[in-house]
Amino acid sequence: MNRPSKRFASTKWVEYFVPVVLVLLGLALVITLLLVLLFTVGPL
Amino acid sequence: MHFISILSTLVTFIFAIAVFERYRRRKGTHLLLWGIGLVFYGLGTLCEAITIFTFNEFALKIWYLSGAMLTAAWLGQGTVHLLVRKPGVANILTGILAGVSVLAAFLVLTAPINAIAAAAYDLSGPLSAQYKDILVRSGLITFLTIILNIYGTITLVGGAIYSAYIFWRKRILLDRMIGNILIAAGALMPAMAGTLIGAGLADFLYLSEFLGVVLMYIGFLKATAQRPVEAKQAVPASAG
Repeated sequence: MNRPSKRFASTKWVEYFVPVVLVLLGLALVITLLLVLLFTVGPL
Repeated sequence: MHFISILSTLVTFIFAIAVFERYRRRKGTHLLLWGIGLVFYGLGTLCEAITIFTFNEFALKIWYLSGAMLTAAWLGQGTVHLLVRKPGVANILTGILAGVSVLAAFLVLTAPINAIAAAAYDLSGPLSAQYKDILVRSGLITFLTIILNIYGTITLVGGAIYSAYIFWRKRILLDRMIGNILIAAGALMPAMAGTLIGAGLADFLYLSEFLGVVLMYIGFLKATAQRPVEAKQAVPASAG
């Protein structure tokens, strides 16, 4: 019943910075996969 | 720059021991698979370190097999076991990965070596810039390298990004959210640098391997850190 909360207080940092970082990481992942294909089976 | 692979090897094996120790205490197939992936990572950087001092055909093959083919896939497989809840799916994928890994090991260990290129090996240059001329890779080896790396990168990096997103959306477990962001960033570094070898930027691989494993280790420590509030909770639970 008295389980401590695992929630954290949302700050401006969490609100705006984290999603930007996650989007950038996602983009980097896509670019990496494209590079794998380009340098192995692609025209480069 | 390639001397940094000695440091990478030390950090990676310390990281692997920490993961195996956590597996021993808490179980969880994902920890076992991450540990195996880190051993492959460490073998790769160890072979890079060996080839600073002497060229060895076996070290080259183990470097390619572990570093270029197996590391990302086995680390990613750990994440698959953590995130895929559907019964049996993760185990089937692990079985397939084990089979592919055995095939990859057979193909690489029996691959021919270009003796002339091997004799001309330059100890002052990185292995990543010279292996293509020495190790004769069949089409199947190249194909498996691509498949294993794509699978490993998507599951490891994608899984960490997804986990961080879930924690962010629910505003829970701040440490795990940050830890997963660091793991994703760390895993991306060698993955991206590995692709840049094709662009003639082979030197970046060794630095990226070091920075990558350091970031992943910090991320792992952050994500698995015991929060004070959890420690307090453990007292009545164990006493009861």
